[in-house]
Amino acid sequence: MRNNTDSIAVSVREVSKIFDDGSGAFVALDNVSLDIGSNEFFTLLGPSGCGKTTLLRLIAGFEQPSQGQILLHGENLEQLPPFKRPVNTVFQNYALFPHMTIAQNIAFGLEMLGRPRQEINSTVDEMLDLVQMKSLADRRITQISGGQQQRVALARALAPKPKVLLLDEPLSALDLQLRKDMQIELKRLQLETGITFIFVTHDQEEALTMSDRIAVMQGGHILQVGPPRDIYEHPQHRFVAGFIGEINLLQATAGKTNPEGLDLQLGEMSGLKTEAKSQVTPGTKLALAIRPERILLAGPDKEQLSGKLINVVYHGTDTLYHFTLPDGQSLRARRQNTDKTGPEWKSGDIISWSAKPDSVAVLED
Amino acid sequence: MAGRLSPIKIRALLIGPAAAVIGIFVVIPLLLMAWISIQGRDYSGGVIWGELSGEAYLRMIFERELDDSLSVNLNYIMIVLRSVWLSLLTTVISLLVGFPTALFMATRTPKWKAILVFMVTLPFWTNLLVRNYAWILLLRDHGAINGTLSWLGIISEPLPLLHTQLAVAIGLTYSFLPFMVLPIYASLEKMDLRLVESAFDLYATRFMTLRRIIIPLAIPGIVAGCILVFVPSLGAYVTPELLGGGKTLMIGNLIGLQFGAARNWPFGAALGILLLALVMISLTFYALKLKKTGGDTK
Repeated sequence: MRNNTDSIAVSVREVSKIFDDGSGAFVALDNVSLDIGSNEFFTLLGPSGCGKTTLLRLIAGFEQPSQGQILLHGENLEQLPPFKRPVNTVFQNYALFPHMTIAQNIAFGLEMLGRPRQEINSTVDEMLDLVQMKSLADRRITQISGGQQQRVALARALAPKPKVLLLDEPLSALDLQLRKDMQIELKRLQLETGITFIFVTHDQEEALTMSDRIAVMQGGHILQVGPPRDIYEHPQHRFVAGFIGEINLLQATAGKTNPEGLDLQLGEMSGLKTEAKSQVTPGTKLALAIRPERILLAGPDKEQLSGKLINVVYHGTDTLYHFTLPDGQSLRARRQNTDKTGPEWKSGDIISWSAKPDSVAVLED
Repeated sequence: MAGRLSPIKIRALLIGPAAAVIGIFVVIPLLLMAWISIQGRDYSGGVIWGELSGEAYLRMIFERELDDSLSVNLNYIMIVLRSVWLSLLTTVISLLVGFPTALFMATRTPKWKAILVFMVTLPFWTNLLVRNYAWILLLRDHGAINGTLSWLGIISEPLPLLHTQLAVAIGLTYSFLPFMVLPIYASLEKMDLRLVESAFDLYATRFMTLRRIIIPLAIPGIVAGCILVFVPSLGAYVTPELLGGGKTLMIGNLIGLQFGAARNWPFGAALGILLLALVMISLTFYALKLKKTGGDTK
């Protein structure tokens, strides 16, 4: 589906954006290319300053790319001002019109498009239903809560039935519980309306929960694009591995390649394997990434892989164990608390551990 | 301590100074003026204290003939109407010039905003009289404007600029423009510029964004600016005196004349009361207008 040009909603082609305030140029986006499929819930994820909001503003038309093109369903958007693009935005602070009621806010886009009054009224009703705000239609924006404002902002942006909906960290101002509810709500709206959502966030959990695909960005580059599971299980960059979830980053030396995988040396210690992608010259230094929950702990030292337990942190659903490996690297392992008591391991104990070859990722730096 | 003051006494003491200032400088002079306006006047021009008379108010519309009969005289009413007309004109021109200026200022960077606000207030550093004299130099027959135009060969005869209503309107606009720019700037500066982006995003053109978003949000500033320009324009004295010549007297000059050369204090005081009434009417209009727009336009 993604490779079919008909179903590509937004195509970003070799786009760069350079801001120059006179005192120095800042490269916000550096030669970024990206295809976003229609009906996709696509997330741009990255820390602040990574260029994700800039990319969103380029698609919306608030900024013009310094280089490259952006296509919307095959049509070049260059030179099209924001008010001519069939794209709507949900702003971070909502940017609702304070001098209008909720219903007037939702109707605004349709009025500007010159739709007949009757159609406007029925669409506004439909949108109020969709975000469950019907009873508050005539309230002013200043009279409703943050969560309600969020819903109005969504309804206002969805009312003109845009081809693409852009969401700029819309949940960041809400408290935790409301944010979790809205995550589910957003996903529901996206499925119900069938509109392409491009969602910008710095919250990796939000990205994993809602997205069909995620693009992880850093320093104006897209590092990796893929479904949440891919991004989480097979991070290709050290940054992606560290940014999404918790992870152990280890230095290892490549050993022999054999049918079960590639042998790895952690200092003097051997026994760890990874699924070999390609031939690696023995002796090559490799960066490994292993999720703490994929480390299997096996009690007192029996096997080759071991570590000295230095700290135990109880988290309720699971317990986190901190180790120091014989070569001095540190390792964290997360163990599900499947019974009330758990193993009686203490700091200073030597514990053996293992990891399945497919849980050990080799990173490109 | 010998007992504490009761709350009522404390309140009276706290409110006292303010009440005294208002009483001495506002209420008493106003009452005095209202009183003088209904006093008689002797032939030499003095006020006959204690003799009640409606003569001053009659004089606004009627003229007493030698045989003591009354005939209609609309000269004074014309001056009042001209004052209202010139003040309205000044307000409209100030709004048309001031709004774009304020919008431009409000959308600059913080550093430029500070510089521009400073520049708007700069004319206040010079005396009003001096600024109006400067306009005489520009507008007179052989002044800067006529001089330049005839040097360029555009005109052969100097344009009659000075001592016209136009000259007064220009002078008033120049004098009071900052009072229009600053309140509008204040309300636009508070406005979240993301609302403008949001309107663009929702298919509003630049014009529709201005009409539906920017102007409605600037209404409190616009109304305040209009009042701050209209009210002092209505009572203006220096500008019509210098730029209007004898032909374009405004109500302020008429009042000045009555207390000075004409030596008719009751009539001057009555005109003062009329001016006050006009201002009150326009402020009531403002209050009603604010109430109608919902009242939450802070």
